Amino acid sequence: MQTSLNVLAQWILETPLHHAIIASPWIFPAAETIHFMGLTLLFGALLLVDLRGMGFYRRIDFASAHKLIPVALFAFLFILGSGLTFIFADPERYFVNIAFQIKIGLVLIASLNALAFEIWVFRPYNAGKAAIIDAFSTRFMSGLSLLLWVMVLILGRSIPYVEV
Amino acid sequence: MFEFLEALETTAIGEWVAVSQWGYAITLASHGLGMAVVVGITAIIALRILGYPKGIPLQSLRSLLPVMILGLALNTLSGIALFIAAASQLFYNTAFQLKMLAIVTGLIMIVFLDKLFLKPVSVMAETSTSQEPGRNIKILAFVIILIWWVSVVLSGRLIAYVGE
Repeated sequence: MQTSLNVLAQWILETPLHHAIIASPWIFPAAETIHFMGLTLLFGALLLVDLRGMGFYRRIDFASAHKLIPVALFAFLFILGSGLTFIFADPERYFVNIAFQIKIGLVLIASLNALAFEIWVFRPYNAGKAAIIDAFSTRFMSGLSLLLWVMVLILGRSIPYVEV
Repeated sequence: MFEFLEALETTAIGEWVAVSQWGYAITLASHGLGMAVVVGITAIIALRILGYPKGIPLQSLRSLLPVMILGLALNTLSGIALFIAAASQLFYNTAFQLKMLAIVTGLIMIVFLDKLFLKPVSVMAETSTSQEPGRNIKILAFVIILIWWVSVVLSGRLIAYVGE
């Protein structure tokens, strides 16, 4: 694992993209700004969808709240793009960072959780099984989603403070 | 003034945030989480006012404000702690001053948005169709999210760069 990450880091360090990012005074701060704008949009959208999934805001019907998922995915693309910019700027800094490693792991778990939600909750709900929205598993997955993204945010903010 | 700002930095809070190993990281993580909630909820309210997703009742938007205020409390308290820890530098930092101005402007505009639209619409019947916001309300919502994104997020990031 560690060696393949080393190989990847060495490969990144030889790409033109890496050189372009470190040569520019504004690409990194611009990526930081996009990362932050994206995370607020992602967070806002998921906050509403997940709180509704947990059983709050019942006057908003779930199908309408769910229309914010494309907004969250749109924001995620910007977060991913700017996040890759950070990695391409300094891969060796991030790959060895424990907060970064846990963060990426939690992003993967949160994505799988969202996918499972789409398949086992939203599809049946959309097909007419309205009662599924009040099932324990729906509330659990919604709460888990919110918890995971809060932890992702906190871990991301911690990356500079756990460096050795 | 400068003496007062330096005195702030030597208070227990200032010392804990600036010196202890986890103080700064924990405070910064709380600050980021609070920001994500405040700006995220604002973004979703603005998006709905601008027309998407129509299925979310306009009447329900006001009920998102308590969540936003929770985020604002977390953001403000951690922000005050961060300020205390570096008061003598931040106070004279142009990016920081612009950020404060943007926050106050944004908050005043949200109060206006609530008085002019969110509150009156929250008591209307959901069946009435003449409740979609007029052009001025849409512009107000758009400007709020613009101020918070461009100014707060951007200058928040830039404090570290401009200050050096």
